Amino acid sequence: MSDQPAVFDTFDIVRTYKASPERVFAAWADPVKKRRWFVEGENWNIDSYEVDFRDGGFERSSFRFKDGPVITNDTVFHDIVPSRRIVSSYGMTMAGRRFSVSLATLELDPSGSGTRLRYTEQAAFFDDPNGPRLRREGCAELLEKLATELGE
Amino acid sequence: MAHDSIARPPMKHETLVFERRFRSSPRAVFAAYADVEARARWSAPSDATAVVYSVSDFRVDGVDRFRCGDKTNLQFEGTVRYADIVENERIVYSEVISTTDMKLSVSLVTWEIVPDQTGSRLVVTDQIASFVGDDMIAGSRVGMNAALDNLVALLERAPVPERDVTLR
Repeated sequence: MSDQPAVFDTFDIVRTYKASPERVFAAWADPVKKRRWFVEGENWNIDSYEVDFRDGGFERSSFRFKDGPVITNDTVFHDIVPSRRIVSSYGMTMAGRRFSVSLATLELDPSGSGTRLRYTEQAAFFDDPNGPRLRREGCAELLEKLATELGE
Repeated sequence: MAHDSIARPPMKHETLVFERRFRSSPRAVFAAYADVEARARWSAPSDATAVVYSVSDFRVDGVDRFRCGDKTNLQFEGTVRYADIVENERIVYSEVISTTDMKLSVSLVTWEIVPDQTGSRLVVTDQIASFVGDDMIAGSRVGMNAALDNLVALLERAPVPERDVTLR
């Protein structure tokens, strides 16, 4: 039984990388690379990570912060244009309870010899009033980890 | 695969919110969505259009596939994936709309049904990303408004029989 209405939030983050669009795209498309910056992290225990990167394909992960509750991310890829665009939706659960569903648009454009990245997330949070703030912070952190993955 | 940035305008993002009141119970509104035959009827925006489902699997992770458009043409294809379902309260799905040539939009759609003094109140929030600019967003607004008006009219005339929906 959910008592609170859903909270909706849209945000976008724009940042540039020195790496080419091809290299930035590869960091999202190659499961070995993506796992390094998107899934792995200090104090995070990864229980599973499966990827089928294609239109209509999926990405599923299950992880815990230290000994905390199980968190899952179920992603479906809706549109992939190599080196240019990835549109996906993803739902997250904690301890079996759905707390968010999002539509995520990643757009890459050449900028000089590097890349201008624009990440737009349209999210719905359920019984999770802090969701929008935490999600914005989390995505900004991930895009910083992507810079590290790219050697920047 | 389109690498040409000239032929690839930036995505357009918008949030569309629709609200309706019903004299029917939340169970009846939920049932009118869950019943694919009823849904096919009320979701066609006009008498000249139709929505024809080839697959409907109304459960979390289930997929619906349909064609819609002019009755004589059905020029659009849709794929819906259910992300969350709370019986009589909430339905969340992603929806991809395409033609045979190209994708037009991806939406995240949340239905929230709450009881009120006279029946129920429905809020539908469509978080849409359009591949083809503002026209698809405007079209989605018109289409959903028409569909929800049909739903109100349908439930006023003859409620869809309530039946238990098995949710995984």
